[in-house]
This record gives sequence, structure tokens and C-alpha cells, in this order.
Amino acid sequence: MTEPEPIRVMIVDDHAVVRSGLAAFLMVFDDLELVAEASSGEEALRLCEREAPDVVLMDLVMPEMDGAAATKAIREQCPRVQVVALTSFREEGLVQGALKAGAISYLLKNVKADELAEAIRAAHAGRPTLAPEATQALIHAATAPPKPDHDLTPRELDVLALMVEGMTNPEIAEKLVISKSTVKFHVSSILSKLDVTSRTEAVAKAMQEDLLP
Amino acid sequence: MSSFSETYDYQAWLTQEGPGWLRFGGARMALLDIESGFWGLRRQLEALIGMRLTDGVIQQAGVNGGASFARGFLSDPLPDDAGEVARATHECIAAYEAAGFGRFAVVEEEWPIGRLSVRGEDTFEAWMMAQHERQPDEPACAYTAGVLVGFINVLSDRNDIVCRQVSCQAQGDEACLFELLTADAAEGDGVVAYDPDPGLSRQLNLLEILFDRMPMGIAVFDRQMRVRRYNPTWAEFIERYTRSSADQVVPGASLYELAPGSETSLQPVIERVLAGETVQLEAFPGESEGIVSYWDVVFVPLIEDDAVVGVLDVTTDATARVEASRELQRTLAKLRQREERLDLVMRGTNDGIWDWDLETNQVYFSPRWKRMLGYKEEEIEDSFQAWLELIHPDDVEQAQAALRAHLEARTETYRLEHRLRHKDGSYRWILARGQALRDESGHPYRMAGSHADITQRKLAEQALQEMNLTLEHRVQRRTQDLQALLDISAKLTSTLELEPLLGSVLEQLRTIVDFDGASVLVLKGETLRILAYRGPIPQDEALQIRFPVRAAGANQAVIEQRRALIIEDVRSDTELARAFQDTAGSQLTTTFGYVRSWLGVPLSVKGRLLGMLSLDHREPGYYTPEHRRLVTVFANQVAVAIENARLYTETRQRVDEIRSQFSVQQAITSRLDPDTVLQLIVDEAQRLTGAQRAVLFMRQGDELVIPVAAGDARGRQLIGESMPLAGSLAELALTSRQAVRVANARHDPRVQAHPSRQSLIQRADARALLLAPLLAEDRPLGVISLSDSQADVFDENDERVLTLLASSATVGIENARLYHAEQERRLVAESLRDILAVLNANQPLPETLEHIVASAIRVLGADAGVIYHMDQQAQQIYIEATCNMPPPFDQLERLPLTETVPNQATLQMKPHVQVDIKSAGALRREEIHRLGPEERRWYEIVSQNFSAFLSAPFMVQGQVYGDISLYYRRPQEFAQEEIDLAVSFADQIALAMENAALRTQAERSAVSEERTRLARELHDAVTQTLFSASLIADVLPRLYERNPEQGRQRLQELRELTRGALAEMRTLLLELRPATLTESSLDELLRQLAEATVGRTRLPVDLAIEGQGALPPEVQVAFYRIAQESLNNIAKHAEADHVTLRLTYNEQVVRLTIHDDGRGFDPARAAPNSLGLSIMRERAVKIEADLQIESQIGRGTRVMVRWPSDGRAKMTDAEGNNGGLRSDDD
Repeated sequence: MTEPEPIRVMIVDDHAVVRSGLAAFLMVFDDLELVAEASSGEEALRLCEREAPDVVLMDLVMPEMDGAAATKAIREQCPRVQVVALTSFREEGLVQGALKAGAISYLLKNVKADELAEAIRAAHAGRPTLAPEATQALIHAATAPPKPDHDLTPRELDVLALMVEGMTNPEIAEKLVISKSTVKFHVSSILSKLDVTSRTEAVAKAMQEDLLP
Repeated sequence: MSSFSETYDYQAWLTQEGPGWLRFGGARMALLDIESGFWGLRRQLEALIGMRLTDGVIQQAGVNGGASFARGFLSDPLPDDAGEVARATHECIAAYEAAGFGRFAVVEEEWPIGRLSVRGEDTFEAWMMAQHERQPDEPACAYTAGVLVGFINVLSDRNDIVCRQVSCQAQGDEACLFELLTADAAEGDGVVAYDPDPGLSRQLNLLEILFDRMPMGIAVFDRQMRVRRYNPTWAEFIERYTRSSADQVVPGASLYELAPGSETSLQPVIERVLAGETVQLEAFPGESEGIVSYWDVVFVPLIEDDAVVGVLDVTTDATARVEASRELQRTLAKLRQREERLDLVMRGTNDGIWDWDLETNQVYFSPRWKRMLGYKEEEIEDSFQAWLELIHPDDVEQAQAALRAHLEARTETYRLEHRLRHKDGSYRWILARGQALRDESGHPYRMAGSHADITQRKLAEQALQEMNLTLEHRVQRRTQDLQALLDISAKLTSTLELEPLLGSVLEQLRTIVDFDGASVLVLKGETLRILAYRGPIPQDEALQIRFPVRAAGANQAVIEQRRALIIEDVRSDTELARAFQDTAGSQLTTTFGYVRSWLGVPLSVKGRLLGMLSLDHREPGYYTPEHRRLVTVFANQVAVAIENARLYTETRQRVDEIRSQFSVQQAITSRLDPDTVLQLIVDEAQRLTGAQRAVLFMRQGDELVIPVAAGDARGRQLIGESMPLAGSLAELALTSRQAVRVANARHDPRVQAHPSRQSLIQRADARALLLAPLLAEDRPLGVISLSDSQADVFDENDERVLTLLASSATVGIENARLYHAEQERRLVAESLRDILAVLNANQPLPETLEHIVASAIRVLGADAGVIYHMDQQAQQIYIEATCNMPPPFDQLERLPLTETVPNQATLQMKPHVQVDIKSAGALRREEIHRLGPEERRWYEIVSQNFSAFLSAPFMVQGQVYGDISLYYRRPQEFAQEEIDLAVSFADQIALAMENAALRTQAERSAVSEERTRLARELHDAVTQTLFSASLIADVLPRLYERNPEQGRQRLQELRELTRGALAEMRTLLLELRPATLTESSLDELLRQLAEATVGRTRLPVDLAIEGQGALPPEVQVAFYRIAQESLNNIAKHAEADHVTLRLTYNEQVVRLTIHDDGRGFDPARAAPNSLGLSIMRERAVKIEADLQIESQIGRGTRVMVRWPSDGRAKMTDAEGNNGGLRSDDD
């Protein structure tokens, strides 16, 4: 009886600390083999082709090409490779983004070594693993009322963004290359849609409700 | 080149297009459909060959067609049997019918051919004519007849059978009847012969020749405009007007290839033709590769089986004609130009002629022109300058102006009288007349005209003028004399200038007719007044006497009867004497005691009664008819004198009025101070009418106020008073829109019925009144009013004068009002614009607010102003900005918000107005007593310095924030407009405040954003480190079992990681509580940073600290931040193997260096904001430190910050403190 082939694992993380820790972790599992380390999305993509890992442990928040983008690229390039998102963030957007990009699992950087090993095996077998927090975030996203957007048009959002930066109407007009009266029109429309009476209130509301993309 | 007959002959049609007639019939239709009919074809053909086609030619065409067709039926050899000929003939006719040329039947026949009668119905000629509703004069079916002749002659192998058309359906007959018979039998009465006539044959040949030789191009195209057939002329056209040669014209060649470029103009036309339209065009322009040509052209659709299969093009070359016509136009224009010149010359006749070419500036002067000035032909140069030099210097300007005016088309003709210098040096008066010739755009290119010598006329004119001048002088002198006399009269203060004159006149009368008492009485209205008196009654007393005509006794009789009357004895008992006695009453024996006899004579001029003259005498019966006659003559003279005086007075008055009106108008247009103008108007009204007083009432809402008055003191006392409009006479004038004249207020129902009117009028002691309304369009402004304590003093004349002045006053008031409003609006607009500019200039808030207060003061005419901020929570009023407040006020900063402070109204968001602080708003003594010290100071300053104020509140972020208060030294009335204005200033303040708040918020959020970013990064770093540590811890036992060496290493790593995490946590703490940054020493902070970096990045960091010291807090923070940012950059981007952090203190400088051996970057290319470089620079600049960043690709980066301490860093110890930190230290 021969040993089954170990699962080939690649680590993608911009933090050297994490790579080092993960490397140590992988050492103790016979069925898991560290085949490559990448510190960025681009490098991951490159190495993925060369090393053909079975599972990629992917950090999500990285400079330049982030984890979601790298996941998407890897899944397109090497559809056989499973990606496990491994991150310290649990924001709804990130969870959805990673899964949408093709990650099979979403784990937080509080996962225990054995759990992580199990998740890698599951991913290899095509089974997803979600951190409880990620599950919660997804449920919240599905059940939360939609973010109020007050029906602002894209142009009004542009104007609002500049109002938040404290620009005056003429400055906004110059920036957006539109006439002052158009700006005025947008501003008054924004005020009425946000149901506020002044610019200051509009800015406050925009920040409170996180209206700007 | 192929000839027309080769390419277009009937045989070819027959054989090519077969089978016989039917096809021929198709071609027939194509030809016949030109202009949609036979007659069209005929006209067309006639037009083509340029001659009339005789019926013979048409017939011959038919014969040709018939013959050709019949040959197709012939057996070879020719039939010799009459029956066979008859059969073939029947067949031919049947085929012809089948081809659609009509219905035919043989009604009589005689074989071998002797006579054949054929009945035809709906022959195509008859059919066509029916279509065109034409009834011909003669049988019309020439072609059909020809066809029949062709048949019979060929089939019976003869050439002498002719056809006669006996009846014609087109003429109204039931059917056409054709008789075919021998020429002999027809005896010349035939209509068709088969080629026995050489003329006809020539015509037929001519037709073919014409097609070949015609100066007309004919071509047939298919739908793609490929040439199917053409004649030589058409090919020649191609040769002549395109770059293609005639040789290229072959069947199948494309028109557009033969004449490239022609499609532009042709295609639209051809499209119409292909749609079935026949298009006829004249002078149709064609252009191919630069060759321009013009064509008269007919395009005819060739229709076959209801489809357009091609185009027949019949073209005549119109190029020469069009060009000739253009040349003609040009010639005509030239001719016209010549004509114009000729015309000018003709008009000039004996005058000098000049003709100025404006392009060249050359001027043609005719010999006569030069002779007029004494010069010979060659003595004057033909130039504009020559003329200019001859002009009298005084006339040059005028002449040039006149020329310019005409050249710029401002005058219809040029006409100028000016002087030109004669050769002998004298000047000649010249009348110049001329006219410019202009091109189509109106631009003058030539100007020509004449000169006439008008010196003689001018001299005569001058003489006349001089004479006039002399006369004028004389008249002036006389006028001056008169004026002197008038002036003397004018100096008399009395209005009765005539009195002295009449007095002396009466004295003179005494030498003619004796009297004891004599008076001149004038009639004014219904009253008689003594104008002059001589007699025993004292002058003063006598001149006061006035009495109504109605009660004037004997006087009344004279006035009413208009004749002289004598009372022989006033004490007698005649009717007249009794009348005298009644009038005199009690005075009969006293004042009039001396009177016994009396003579009254009317004074009249031109039938108009002026008054009367009365004489009395102490002797009864003294006056005789002789006296009466004498006195009547004398009275006439007196009447004239009075009338003259009246006319004079009136004229002078008119002059005065006009002068007055003028000065009023001048005042209105120049001085815009309305009170001055109005004062002038009432002064003039009073002076011109002689009224006791003139008063102006202005309407203000429901009230009348009196801004100005003139005349006696009683009138002037009224100034400033006001009274209700309702019920006043002024209201009457304003509603009736007419002047109101009251002769006597005591008897006038308009006054007596209204107690309100009565009291005012009584108070003013007015008997006679005259009011004129001031109406600006429909708005009643007020009235101007005259009054007098004497009754009956205002007449129509006064009314006219007053009305005139009233309209002037209206204009004056309106002008002033508009001017004022305009000024105010401009001021407001300017100041609001200024404020907006200030708002947009991002100035600090206090400056902006001060600017707004200053503007508000200026615009609203206040003396000082304050912006208060009312903090309701703190119950405090803060003073945000002031302008022009007295110095003690500036020491105030805030006040308690209590009820005693008048700004309470602000809290209700209402503008607040205090007209008079001292009276209305004053606090009672005990209230003042209750005020706190600050309030009392405030109250004292405001109440001691100001009388009135106006406050307008404003809101910031939906909350009442404060107000702007404007203070006035004098009591004020505030118009709604001013209050609104104050509110708009308040709005500006609110805007400024919100702007400022927004800006602060933006700044604040930028700061907090940066801090949040750092904190997040740090938090993230800690998480990563701890995750790694926990993973290692998780697997460490197992790892140890498998590989003790690895286990040990990992244990060491675990230690470093936890230490790093601790450092990170401390750093994070620092970020959350920035104050701690200054509480720890820089050495400690840097050590923490280094540890955190090691923990996070697994990157060895050497920390070296030389010297010791304490830095000012802001310097310490800046150093820390720069180190932090640098390490962050290294961790993120540098991919370094080693980092050195070195801090050096010495006496002059504190220096921090962060150096890595990573990949470096190109500083020249780095975006200024990337890597937080600009933030580091800003931090360095803030503490006046010097920051250097050195980097090279592949060579690492060195960041060095030097702070010149100049002893400011407290050196504690010079001993070096070297702390090293390595990830792999063991």
C-alpha cells in the first residue's frame, strides 16, 4: 500500500510572519506539502502555473493585486486549484468578494492548526469550509435591509463626494467641468433627496450612512 | 465612327429585337411616348431637326415601316396570284391590329389591286388625339395610312398605290376609313404615295442625315447609363467637353466613365427619369474634370412592358449660349457703368465734372471743372489730393465729413457747398453734387459728380444775410428800448402797473371833460374793480372798492347795455338815478355826497368788454351828449391801453412761465435731490400764480404729508404735518385725475359738505383754492395746492400753470425715486457680490464676518454693526464680529442671554426693529439696576451711542445661531425693503458660518482618517503576528517530536513574535492615545518601533542611539512619525534584508537615519504623494528640520532627518547608548 500523494499547498501572504508561521504549521502534517510561497498576487499567479498546487492559502488584503483578484485569476488560469481565503478581516464585502472570485473556503486568522489542516483537505476534496464569522457575515448580508442610497444619481454622488471634501460650488464646478448653476442644481437636489437643509447636514449624513462608494 | 443609320435603323430593330411588329411596337411606344403622345413626338422631332415635319414625312415613316413589315410576310419569290396577295394583305392588317395600332376591317376589295377600303377604329393617332382631347382640321392618321400603303405596295409589288383617308375618328367620325387605290385613280387627291415623289424621298433621307448630322446629341442608355446607341454629335460632345475622346464612345461604355464627375449633377436627374419622368432642362450645367459645359437636354424614359428599360438623351450644346449670355451680362454692366457716367455728365451740363475712382484714388476733373477755377487742363493733377488742396481751410472738415457720410451710405446723394481756391487766389463758392457707384454688396467703388459755381448766388445770399443782420440789429435795438420800458414797469411792485398810467390819463381827460370824480373800472369775472381813480375819495380807499356787477346799479346798466349812459341828476327820480341811489346806499350823502351828475362809458376792445369809465360831477345836468361822445372816444383809447397792458403782462407771464418751467426741468435733470426740486416747484407755483401760498402734499399710504411749502409763514408752518387722505380735496383731485378749483371755500359745496375739508381750509385761512394732482401713470403721488385768503383769485391760467408744474413735479419725484432705487440696488448688488467673493476666498471666518458687517453698514446706512452668537445652552451671547462700535464695546466678549437683552426677538427668528431706543426701548431705572455688570455696560454703550437698531437673525445647521444688529445714531424708520436686506445679510453670515464649519470638519476628518489608517494597519500587523504565533504554538509539540532542531528554532521565533506583538500593541496604544507619544522618550519609542518591525516582518533591524537628550514634544512626535513611516515603507515595499535605525544627539543637531538595503526606488519618478513622502516632508518642515531621502534602484534607501537643536535639545549625557536588535540574536 502506497502513501497517497500529499496535498500540494501554496501560501500567499504579504506578511513574512504569516508565511513563516504557516510554513511551520505545514511541516507537521504528512499529507500536506508546502510547494510555494508568494508575497503578492502577481507572484502567486506566476508560481501557481509552475508549481501546480492543489490548494492555495490566500491572504485577501494585499497591496496592488489583492487576494480576491488573485483568486479570480488563479481560478481562471488553473481551474483545478482550490483557493482557501485566509484573512484577518470578516467584513461582509470581503467574504462575498472572495467567494465570488472563486474561493472555496473562507477562514479567519484565528483558526486553529488542526482546523486549518482539515479545511485544506476539505478544499482539496471540493468541500467548502466557512469560518463561523464569515457565515454570520453572509447571513447578515442576505437578511440586512439594503443600504439606503436615497436614490442619488451617480453624478450626485460625485458632487456629494466633493462636498464632503469641503469644496465650494465653484470649486466643484471646476473639478467636474460643469457649470456653477448645474452644481447648484445637483446640490439642491442632493439636499432634498437626503432630506436635509444645509450642506453641512448633507455631508454629515453622507458620512454617517456611508453613502459614498 | 458609326453613323446613325448603322446603329439605329428600323431593320436592325426588326431583326435584333424580333419578332417583328410587336417589338417594333415597343420601340414605337418608346418614341411615341416622348412628351406622352404623338403630337409630342412630332414637336420633338421637329425640334430635333429644326424644321416642320410635313404629314408626308410621317406618312413616309409609316410607309417605310409598313413596307419593311410586309416584306417579312412575303414568300420568295413574290406571289403572282392575286388571291395570295389578298390573303397576305389581310394577314398583315390583322398583325398590325394585333400589335395594338387599332382595330381594322377590310370593307371593300378589288383584286388584283384596284381598290381597297379599310375601316379603322381607334387607330393610334385617333386614340392619341382623344387622349389629348384634340380635334384636328384634317384627317390625322397619316402614319397608319402610310403603313397600309407600305403593305399593299410591297405585297402587290407596285409603287403607285396611294391612300386617301375618307373619314377620321379623331374628327368625330364614327370610324376612320382608308381608301387604297392607284395614284392615277386618285387623280392627285391621294394622301400618301409610295415613293413616287423624289421630294418625299429626300425628306426621308434628310431625316436620317439629320440624325447623323444634327447639332444635337442623341444617345440611348440602359438603366446603368451604359451607352446603347448614340449619334456622332453626341460622341463629339464627349470629345469636346470631357477628357475622353470620341473613340471611347462605344456601345456599352458608361456615361459616368466617359464624363467622370458628371454624376454629381446628373444622377439626381437620371433617378427621376428612371422613375418614369421625362425631364427637360435648360442650361443644365455639367462639369467633368474641370471642363464646364451647359446643356439644353431632354431625358426620356424608355418604357417597355411598363418598366423603364433605359434613357433617351437628347442634348443640345448650350455652353456657347450660356457663356455668351454671361459675356453679355458683363458687357451690359460695363455699358450701364458708361451710361451712369454719361448720365452724370448730362446732369452736370454746364458744370464741372469729376469722376473719382476709389480704388486707385484717381480723379478725373473735366476741363470745365478746371476752367471754373481758372486752370488749364494740365495745371491740375488728376488726384484726390489736388481737390483737397484747393478747398478753403475752413471747409475742409465739413467737406470730408460730407464725403465720408455719403461713402458710408448715410446720405442718399453727396451735396456740399464749399469754397475752392481760384487760380487768382480768390475763393469760389462751389455747389458739389455727386453720387457713389456701389457694387452688389453696397461697397462704393467709384464716385462721380459735378461742380457748379454758385459764387454769385452765395454773394447775394451773403448780402441778404448782412441786410438781415442790420435789420435784426435795428429790431434788437428797438426791442431793447421796449425792454427798458417794460423793465421799468416790471419794477413796479403793484400788480396794477396800469394805475399810474391811467391816473395821469385821467388827469389829461380833465382838460377835455371836467369831472369831480373819475374812475376806470375793470371787469374781472362778475366783479368790477377800480383800477384808477381821481377824485375826492382818498386813493387808497378808492382802489379798494370792488363790487359785483349784479349790484352795481347804473354801472350795471352800462355794462349790460354796453353803451354810454348819462344821469343828469343822481338825486332825481329816473330809473337810472334810482339805480345809482340804490348802489350808493348810505354812502349817497357821505362818500358820494358830492356827486350830482354822472356819465358811464363802457370800455371795450374788438367787441370784448373790459370794464367801464365813470365820471361824476357836482353840478346836476353837467354832462351833455357832446361829453358823452368825447369820453367815448377817450374810453376807446383807454381800453386799448388796458388791453395792451394786459397782453404785455400776459406775454411776460408766459415768458416767465417758460423760464420757470425750464429751470424746473433743469433742476430735475441735474439735481436729483427731490426736496430741492419740489421746493423749486412750489416756489415757482406760488410766484407764477401770485397765490398766497403753495403747498405740496405727498401721499404716503393713507396719509398726506407736507414736505415743502412756499409763500406766507402760515403755509410754511404746515411743513412736516400729515393728515388722512380720505375725505380731503386732494383725494378728490387724485380720483378725478383733474385739477380742483374752488373759487370761494365758504360757498363751495365740495368744501362745505365735508367737515374734514372745512377745518383744514379754515385753519389755513384759505378762501380760494386750486389743487392739481400728481399722477405717475396710475399711481397717485400727491397734489400741489394753491390757496389764498381772497376769494376768486385763481383762473384758468393759474390752473394751466399749476397743472404744468404738477407734471414737472411728478417727473421730478419719479426721477429721484428711480435714481435712488437704482443706486440702492447697485450698492446692494455690489456688496452681495463682494461678500460672495470673500466667502469664496476661503478667508478665516472672523475676517469674513467683519467684511459682511461692514458691507451691511454701508448698504443699510447704519453707523455700526455687530454679529452676535446666541448660545442657548450656555445662556450666553458671544460677540463674533463688530464694525464701527465705540471702543468700550470691544472690551465686551460675551453677555448673559437674559430677557432684558433686546435680541430676544432673534430667538423667534424674526427680524427686529427698534425705531427709537431712548424713548421706546429704554429700560426703567430699576431694570437697569437689575442688570449684571456686563449687561449694564452693554446697555450703556448701546443706549448712549445709538438711537435705533435693526436686527436680523440667522440659522446655522437648522438652529438659531445669532443675529446681525445694525445700529443707528439717529432715530430711524425702517422700510420693509431694508429689513429684507438685513435678512439677506444674515443669510450670508449663515452661509459663511456653514462654510467654515464644513471646512473645519473636512480638516478634522482628514486627521482622523490618517489616524484610523495607522491604527488599522497596526492592528492588522498585530493580528498577523499573533496568528503566526498561535499556529506555531499549535504545532510546536509535534514539530519538536519530529525535528528538535526545527522545534528550537520555532520556539525562538515564537518568542520574537510575541515580543513583536507586544511592541505593536504598545504602538497601537500610542496611536489611540497620541498624548503618550510625548510622554515616553524618543529612544524608547524607536526601540518599540524596531521591535514591532522585527516581529511583523521577520526583518532584522539594528537600532543605534548616540548621545542622549530630550526633544521638544512636537519634534519628538515628528521624528517618531518619520521613523514609523519609513519602517512601514520598508516593510511594505523594500524587500530589504537589513535595516539600520540610527539616532544621534549632539550640541547642534539631532539626527535620525533610517537605512535599508532593499530594492530602492527612483526618487525622480516617485509620485510626490506615494510612500507617504510628502507627509514626511510636511512633518519635517513643521519642525524646521531638514529631510533627505536618498535612494537608487537596487541600492536601498536612506532617509535622514536633521533637526538643528541649537541647544534646544536638553543633552543629558554624552555617553553613547547602543541598543542592537536582531531577529536572530541568540
